[in-house]
Formats: sequence, C-alpha cells, structure tokens
Amino acid sequence: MNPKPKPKFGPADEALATMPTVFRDDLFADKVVIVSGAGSGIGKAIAFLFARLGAKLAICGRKPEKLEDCAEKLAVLSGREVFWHPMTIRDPADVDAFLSKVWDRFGTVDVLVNNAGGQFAALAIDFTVKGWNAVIDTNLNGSWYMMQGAAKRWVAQSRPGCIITITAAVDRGLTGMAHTTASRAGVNFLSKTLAVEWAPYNIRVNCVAPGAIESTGFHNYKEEHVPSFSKCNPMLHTGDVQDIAEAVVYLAAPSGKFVTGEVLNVEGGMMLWGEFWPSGKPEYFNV
Amino acid sequence: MTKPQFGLDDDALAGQPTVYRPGLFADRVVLISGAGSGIGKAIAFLFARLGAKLAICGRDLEKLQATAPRLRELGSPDVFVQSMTIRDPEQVDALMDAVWTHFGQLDVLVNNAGGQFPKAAIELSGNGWRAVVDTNLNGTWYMMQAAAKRWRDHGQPGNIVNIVLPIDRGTPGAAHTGAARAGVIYLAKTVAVEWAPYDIRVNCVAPGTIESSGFQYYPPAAVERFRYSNPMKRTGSVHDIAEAVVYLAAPSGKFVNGETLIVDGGSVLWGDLWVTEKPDYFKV
Repeated sequence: MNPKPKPKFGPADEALATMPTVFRDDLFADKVVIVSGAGSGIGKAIAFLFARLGAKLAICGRKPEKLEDCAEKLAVLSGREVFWHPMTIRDPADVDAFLSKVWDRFGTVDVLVNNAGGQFAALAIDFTVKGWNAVIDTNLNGSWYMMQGAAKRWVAQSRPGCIITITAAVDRGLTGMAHTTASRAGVNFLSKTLAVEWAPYNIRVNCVAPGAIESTGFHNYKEEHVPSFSKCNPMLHTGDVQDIAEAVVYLAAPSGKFVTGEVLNVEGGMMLWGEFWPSGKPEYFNV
Repeated sequence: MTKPQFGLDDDALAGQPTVYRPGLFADRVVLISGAGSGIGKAIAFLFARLGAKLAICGRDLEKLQATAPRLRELGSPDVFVQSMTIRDPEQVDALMDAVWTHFGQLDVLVNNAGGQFPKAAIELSGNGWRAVVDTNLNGTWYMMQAAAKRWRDHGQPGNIVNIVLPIDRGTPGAAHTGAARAGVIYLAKTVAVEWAPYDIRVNCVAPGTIESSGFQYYPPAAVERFRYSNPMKRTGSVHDIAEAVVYLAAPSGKFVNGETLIVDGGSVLWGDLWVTEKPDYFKV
C-alpha cells in the first residue's frame, strides 16, 4: 500500500498530532466532548487537540470512513473511549438519535463543539434556491438542532453545559459567500441570545469565528482563487487549524468560565483590512 | 498580611489552577503595567508561573517591591521593577529603554495600568475627566508606541494586550473611562493594521465586573449589585483575565489581531451595571 499523500492544504494527521499546544496535558482528562464535522479540516484539528488533552470524544459527520479513521487516531491520542456516528445535522431526528446515543454511552457531555457546516463560493446573484437553502439548513438550522438538543439534556440532568460553534468572521460581510454570511451571523447572534436565556441553566454559549484558515476546506474553492486567501488580512498569511482548535479549548476550559455570548474572531485582522473573494474578484473592484 | 476585602490574596492567587502548560513563557520577557495590585498583579502572577521574565511598573514602588520577590518564587527567573506613571511620555520612554537594556528584548507588553472613579457624567470636573482620559487613553498610547518603535528598530516581532472594558452598551456612571477605553479598543484595531508589517499583534481584553481590590473604590451599595450585572449573576475572577491575556499573548493567539476579547459573563447582553448608586429613574 502506498503511503497516504500529504494533503495539499493543512497539516497531515501526523503533523496535527504533534503540533505544539499552549495547554497542559490533562486539561480535559475524562471530560466528554462532542465535535461535529470531525472527519476532516478544522473539526479534525479540534478533535485531535481535545484527545491530546485527555478528553473522551464523540464525533459525528456525514462520511463513515473518515470518521472511523479519525476515531482510531483519537483513541490513540487520548487513550480513551471514542464514539463515532455518521449522520447529518440537517435532520433533527438524526441529531436527536446521535445525542441520545452519546448520552447513553457516556452518561453526560461536558462540551459541544458545533463545527459541522459548509459553504461554496458563488456570487449572490447566481445563487439557486436549492444552494441557498442547503447552506442555511446546515449552518444555521443544523447548528440550532444540536444546540437545543444538548441544552435540553443538560437541563434534564441539571448539569452545566458549554457550547462552542464555529462560525465565520462576518462583521464586514463575506463577499462571494452571502449565504454562509447570513447563516453564520445568525448563529453568532443566536449564541448571544442563548447565552442569556440559558444562563440560569449554567450553560455557556460562545462562538469562534475563523478567517482564512488553511485546511482541507480549501479544496472547496477554485484553485486559482486560493493564493489570494493569504493576502486577505494585514498579517498576509492564512491561519492554521490549530489556531482554531486552541481558541475553542480556551473557551471550553476553565479559562473561559466567565466568557459567554462572545464571538472570538481568529482571522489575523481580516475584518479591519483586506479583501476576501473566494469566488474571484469582480473586475469592478480592481481599483 | 490580612485577607483583602475583595479579590484573592497572594496565596490564593498563586494556587489558582491554570489551563496552560508549565514553561509556556520560558525565555520570554513580559512587561506589565499596574502590576502592583488587582488584575495587573494576577496577570504578573500567571506569567511568572509560566516561566516568563518580568518587567513590572506602576506608581507605587512599595507595592511593586513587595510583589517582585513573590514573582521570583512563582518561577520568574528575572523580575525588573520600575516605578513610574504612564501619563508621562518621558517616563514611558525611560522605562522602555531600561527594559531593553536589562533584558535585551521584549516579547509582550500588557497595558493594564489605568483607573477610573464612579461619577455621574453631569458632575464630572474638567480635572477628573482629563485625569482618566490621560491615564487610560494617552498613557496606554505612549506605552504602545514606545514599545512598537523599539520592536521596529530591533527588527523583532511584538505583541500588545490592552486591558480595557466592555463598552458596547456604554458605561453609565463612568463616561470618562468609557470614552477612554473605547478609544483604546479602536486604536488597537487601527494599529493592528498599521503595525502588521512589523509583525506586531495588538489585541484587547475587556473585563466585566471582576472582583478585585479595585472594588474598594465604588460605593458599597453599588458593589453589592455588581454580581447582578450579567446573566451569570456572579462576578469574575482576576485569574479569568490573566488567562485571557495569556491566550492572546501565547502562540494560541498568533492569528488573532485587532480583536477585543470580552470576559464579562455576558454583561453586554443582559444586566444593568451602575458603578454609582443607581438613579431612581432607572428603578423600573
């Protein structure tokens, strides 16, 4: 069998498993963490870091073979139990079944990381209804089903909870991805609302909003547009998946215990300077 | 030493669990202003525990001198102390020169020094207004620029974290500091861009009601209400702020720039914070 080729974007699994981290080894010892969309990219990086910090992981995603492969590696990194389950967050019944299985298996959950989501680059004028609905349904509705499903279970158990959703840095809009901008902005402000409504249940709700992070997700864009991603912020480089994983851990760990309703932007300053055109820059803007 | 009325005493502070790995700041030099008490001291304690060499400054030399040995005990290999006020640009310049002479480098600047007093805006005197703006905005700026010039001239990367306040819904009862802190937040966003070519990151941490020795400056009736100013119905700890600063200063924050991390238990979303006594009008 040929060795797996190094992915073109983002670190290979071996590199990911040994990336330096600022956190102490046993920070999440025996805590239970759910990561959705953990089969690749940012989600996999988040799951890897929690595993290295000793967490028991429950992962979900649409592709069973990717999840199974990831789960094996997580078990090696954590030395602990890993549960994986293929499903789509777009289906509330799937979400309910998944969460019930996780709670049955582990008894409870400490952290929910809503990472699953996606988008494709296109100018808004060209969106189809189907394309629009798909993005909103996954990123906004799907994240919501997961949030409410977890919160109901925490409330039923009278246990504290912690939700972190991966969204996007949307303060200046995201040209070429209007659908995802709408869905992610929805989640950012949903989280702020829930942070208040669910404070009586001791559930913290926060978001991490990545800018241009080099990951397997870059494959979703046309190759000729990818080089511009490293010029869309004043640091003139892309972030790495570990940047997002460490932001999530900061919020999920006791370090974030007085942080709720916050959107932590990890984007190198992209909202302050730079242009991001994942679908190509229209001639009009070449000034 | 008696237990302070508010916040953690030194032993409790030193024993706070941290999420970070030992040695995270080994061989790094961190300058913290206003490190003699309250939040600044908590930040200095955490960096010391993570192995950083420290430069601490503040107005009260005695407090700094009392803090320095403790920082060494906690793991800081070298602690440099200078009393000064950030309001005087010459003193800021002298401090920066002294830090570079002593350590030959600076990795992180934590602009924590600052202060305010509760006062209805209508009653603010010219001197009171100017004092707060001069310390919190001008003083912070002198420190930022003085550090950045040296980083640029030495061709070394830099990292600035400013302690500000959540100002999204204004700061009733403390208009002066709201103006000054908002100024720093947007100053940080601006220089995050201007100084990106020098590899200098600039971010802020905005603490909500954090129980610290600073609480003594507010009316007791107001302090009693502080914990109801956010949906978590409690105050935060100085250690929460220290851990936020470390997150931004460490490699964990290496792609975070121009950001203000709000650590306030959600106070910008729900709650009614009055640092003065709450005016009758708002008792609805």
